[in-house]
Amino acid sequence: MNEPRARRAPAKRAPGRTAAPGVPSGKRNPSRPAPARSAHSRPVPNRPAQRRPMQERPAPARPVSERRPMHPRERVPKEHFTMFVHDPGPVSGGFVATLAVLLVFGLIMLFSASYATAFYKYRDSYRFIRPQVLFALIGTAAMWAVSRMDYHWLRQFSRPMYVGVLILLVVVLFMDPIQGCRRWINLPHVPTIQVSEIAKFSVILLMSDLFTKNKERVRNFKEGVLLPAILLLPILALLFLEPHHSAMVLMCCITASIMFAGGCRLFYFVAGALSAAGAMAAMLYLRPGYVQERLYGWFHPFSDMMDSTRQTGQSLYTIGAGGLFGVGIGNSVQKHAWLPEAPNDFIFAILCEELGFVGAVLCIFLFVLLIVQGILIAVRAPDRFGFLLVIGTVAQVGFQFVFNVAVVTNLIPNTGISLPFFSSGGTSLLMLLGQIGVVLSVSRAGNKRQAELKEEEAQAKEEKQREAAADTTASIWAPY
Amino acid sequence: MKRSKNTTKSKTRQKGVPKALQWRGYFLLGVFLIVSCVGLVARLYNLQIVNHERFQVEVAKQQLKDIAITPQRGQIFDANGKVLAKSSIVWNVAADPSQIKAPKLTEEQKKAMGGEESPESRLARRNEYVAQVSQTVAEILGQEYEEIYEKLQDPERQYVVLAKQVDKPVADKIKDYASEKRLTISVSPDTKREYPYGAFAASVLGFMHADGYGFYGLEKQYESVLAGTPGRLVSLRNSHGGEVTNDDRKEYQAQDGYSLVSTLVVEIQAIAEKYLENSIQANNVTERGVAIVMDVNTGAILAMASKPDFNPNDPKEIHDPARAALLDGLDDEEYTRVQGEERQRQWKNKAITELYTPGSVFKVVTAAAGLDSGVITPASSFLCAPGGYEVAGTKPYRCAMNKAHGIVNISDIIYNSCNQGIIQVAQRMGKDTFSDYYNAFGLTDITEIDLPAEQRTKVGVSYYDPAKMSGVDLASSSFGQAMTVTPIQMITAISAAVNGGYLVQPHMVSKIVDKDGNLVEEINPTPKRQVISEEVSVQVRKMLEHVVDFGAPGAAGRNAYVAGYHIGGKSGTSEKLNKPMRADGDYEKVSSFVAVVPVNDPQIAVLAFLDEPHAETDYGSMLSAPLVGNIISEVAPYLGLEMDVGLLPSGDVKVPDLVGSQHSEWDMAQVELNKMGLTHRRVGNGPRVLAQYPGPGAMVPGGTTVYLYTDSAEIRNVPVPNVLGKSVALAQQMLAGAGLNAKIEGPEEGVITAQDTAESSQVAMGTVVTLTAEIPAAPEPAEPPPEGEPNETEEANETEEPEGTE
Repeated sequence: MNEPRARRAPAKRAPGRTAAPGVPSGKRNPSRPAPARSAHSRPVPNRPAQRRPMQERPAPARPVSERRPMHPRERVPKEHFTMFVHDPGPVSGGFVATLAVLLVFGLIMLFSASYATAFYKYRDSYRFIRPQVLFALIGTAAMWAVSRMDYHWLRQFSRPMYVGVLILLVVVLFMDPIQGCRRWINLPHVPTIQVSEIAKFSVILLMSDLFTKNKERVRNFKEGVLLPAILLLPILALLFLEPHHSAMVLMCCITASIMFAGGCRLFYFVAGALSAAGAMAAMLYLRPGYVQERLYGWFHPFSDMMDSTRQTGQSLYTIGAGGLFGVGIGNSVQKHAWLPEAPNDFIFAILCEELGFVGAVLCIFLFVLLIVQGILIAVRAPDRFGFLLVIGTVAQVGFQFVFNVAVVTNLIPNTGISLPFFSSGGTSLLMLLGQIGVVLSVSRAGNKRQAELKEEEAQAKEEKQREAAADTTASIWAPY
Repeated sequence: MKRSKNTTKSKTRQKGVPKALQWRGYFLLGVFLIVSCVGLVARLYNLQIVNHERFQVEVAKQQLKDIAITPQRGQIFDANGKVLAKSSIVWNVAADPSQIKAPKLTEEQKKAMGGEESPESRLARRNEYVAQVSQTVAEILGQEYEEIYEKLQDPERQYVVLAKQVDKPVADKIKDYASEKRLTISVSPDTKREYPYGAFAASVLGFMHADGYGFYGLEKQYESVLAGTPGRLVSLRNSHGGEVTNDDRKEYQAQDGYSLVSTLVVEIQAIAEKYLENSIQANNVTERGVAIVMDVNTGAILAMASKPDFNPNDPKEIHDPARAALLDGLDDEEYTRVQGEERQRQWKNKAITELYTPGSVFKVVTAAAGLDSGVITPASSFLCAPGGYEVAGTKPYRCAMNKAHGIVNISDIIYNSCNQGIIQVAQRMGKDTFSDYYNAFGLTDITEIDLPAEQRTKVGVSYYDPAKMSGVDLASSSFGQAMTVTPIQMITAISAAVNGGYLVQPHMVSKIVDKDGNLVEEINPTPKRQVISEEVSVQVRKMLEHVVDFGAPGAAGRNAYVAGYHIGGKSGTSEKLNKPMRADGDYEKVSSFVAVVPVNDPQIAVLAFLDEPHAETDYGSMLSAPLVGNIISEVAPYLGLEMDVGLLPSGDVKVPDLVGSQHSEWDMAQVELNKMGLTHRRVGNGPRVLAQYPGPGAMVPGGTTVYLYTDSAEIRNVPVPNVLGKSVALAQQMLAGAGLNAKIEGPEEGVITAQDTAESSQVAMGTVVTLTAEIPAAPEPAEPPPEGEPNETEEANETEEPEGTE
């Protein structure tokens, strides 16, 4: 504790300027030119500066920090992280185009897959598609707005949002259950909100922040594994109480992706995979009956078509009945109350029936296209934080897609995971589009940076050429 | 390169993502690409291309909706279009109790049970839920709660019928409730057969099996015509069973059943049933009775009654209270057996399914055969000796009550029902000729009437094989004691004997029409053959008329006489030799009578047959003849059969004493009135006449209605209407409607100018009011036409008469 403080002190005083002392690090105010600090060699001040915000909280200056607005030093970062960027840079056109196609495709499929169920259950064929279109419109607008924001601005909310999500996850446990699960905040006259969707984003934000902050120490067990695990655990525990197992799995997968991309040691992944395999083996060895029972339906999807394996069995029927070209859009018969949850988790099966193998592969191709472009946006991000944000979001979409298709094709046991852009669900779509907005924000910053780099490169080239031209004789003659 | 440049040249910019992390990003992408492009696509290929057909078959199997569309069953009409049987659409309600599960537990409840619910608790909660459901369902269906609960309670059962044949509002209600509560209750359409007249012509109409097909009577005989052709719907269904709109839908419309137009006439059937029921009750008939009214020229059955019968709306109920009482106090097994027997008994159409010994009625056939074969002539004479007639092999044959009729011709034989005489006629024919005629009259074969279960007569059992026939057999056969026939065979044979010799085809249905009334098929069966010549037929008619002899005292058929009509008939009484003797030490009897009206131009034949009567007398002439007479007294005017005005009493008639005499049974009283040309109206439902008005000895005009009081001896008064200024016909109608009789003085086509009893005065019912009629004088030039009209009708009558006798 004392050591970094002692080290920090000279660094703080050294510049000897009134405006600069509060600047925590060069990384956190990227847009602000800091000629004075640029004189320092980066690695040295960076380390303590990185730790400071974490250590400042327990510091004795607490009563002062409560009067924040009055303190001149504290205002500095706020000036720097403006919500919107004046010159956001261009978005990645291909990514947006792919997204638009997926979104429209998803809405069309949802209407086709949901109108029968909507009619049988509510006597209203538009029951599912109506709010979905509304949320898609609002979501698109939100996405566009978010894409023009500076994603660094979000960083300050990582911890408050985490706390807020924890509170909400506790609140849902006291809500009236829907189909036996307490996953939604359902208040009268307001659309229901599925908190786990917000939690996903919160986890992405928190982990990205964490792995950016601790970038030098992510290879340690403590910062790289233990801390994320400890932060994730309460969320998992609350999700378990809802219960919402599929969201738990997704949270773990998203966190693992960020950990992996954030630079966590590969050894821990190998160790994690091995211990998971070991646990499974132990289960199989110790309680083979229990495992067999739980997994019986997975291996025998047609054994209890009236009840427990109805979803999976009918899903396989539905997919298989599609054949190469399908029965045609809108012509599914399985959606007429044969396949349960057709508008939600099993919408991909209806897609397979109506559009056949060709349509299913097209859908997979669109997702692949989106993810490939997402990863490209990630790696072209201006900084680590943006990179991790995009990785987290792309991982979320990717895992949900893979898990969903794997469930409907019975590659993995049945758990309720929705298909992004396709399944019915307002919160999910809205949050997803908002997160895509963050991705677009990163893409804008990345593109801007790339453009500037190119420009500089060109300038440098020009300069070099000029220099070269100036020294032509010299250089020509140099060897001699 | 980039990085180095970044650091060196652009110090203001972030340094971007470290290469190592970029590679990690690419690695994640690579894993994703492999999983989705290879794993998922391969799996989809396997499901959609490799296993496509298998899944397609499974899906087609579960989605196939293949249902039969029930056609509407045709109706049955009487000859005048009155509905005797009709179908309406009703609904059957069934449920699947195995699908009724205990309501889902809330989390708290589950926790309170320690996470896992015990099967006992689940069952208890399910029962509670079933009780709740049963309450509502029972309320909607209007049934007992316990009954419904009992049906729904068993979680193993998959199908129970909750209610059959409920109406649309109930069906709609239960449907709504089931969909609201997500209960597996199915409501399927069905047709219900209704017989508006209840226990009426029941054995002819038959009834429906619970499974929806005709089980007896016309319903069975014309099943294929009435039922129509079921349609079929082949389509796709959703998992609730509802239809999903699709292009491959195929619907084949059901072809509704055709309707039958029966030859029955409701009014005639009602008359026949009314008198038959009365006779059965009055004479304590234990083995049911039959009445048939048949058109002798076409074979159309106008009425066919077997009584007691049943209510086709509820055929399983034992309709006759006396027979239903037999079931009281029986134990289960015995109860079921007796119940089954009694049902069979009441369902049977006695007119076609039971054989009886025709007795003396058969003498008509023997006589007709004798005359037609030429072995006798109307003038041939036979001796009926006091000692009886000897036939080798048995004791001498005697006539009833050991009477000796002396020298008789064939007409005398029939008139006296002389056994000795008719044996001699048969002997003259010989057994082969006799058997040929027996066969020709259709008595060895079924009549092929369009009703099911007609009893077939068997050679050697029902009648003698000519090759094995002995003299005794021939003698016994000649007067109808040695063979059995069905009533329908007998009336058909009698018809052939009187209608010019033609053996007609008796039939119940004249037309088959579609549901809009368009003719589909007309049934006009032609006579099968001519059995005897026209001349012989005329001779037979004369003999039969002689038996009735216009109701003359001493004539055997006098009780079948109705004044004004030429009526012929023959009675028959046979002994049931194969049955245990009755209490009085005599054999059980069968009393029958057959009549033909008008016998000079035969139109209808009426046969009545009482099986095992237990009255003061056994003779057909005393039991069945009055029954037939009373039927004729109403049917003949209804059909407008030709009257012979000469047979009506001229002038006033003396009203007989009906209260104290042997005729005090009301039907016998009516017979007396029939013979005199008086009619009657029965007041009350008692068996005997307690008072009459007009009283004994009163002189009244012919056609006057005598009021017979059977419940009490109190004579009722009625007010007299004002008929002044009315036409004669209208005045007569008004008085009849008021319960009074009219005596017209003056021309029939006149207007009433005076009535002897003042308006509104209270007089006894049946009082004869004398009306004075005059032809209105005012329109003088109008006189010739009224004169012309009667002339025309007279001429018409004159021209018709020769035709009739031809």
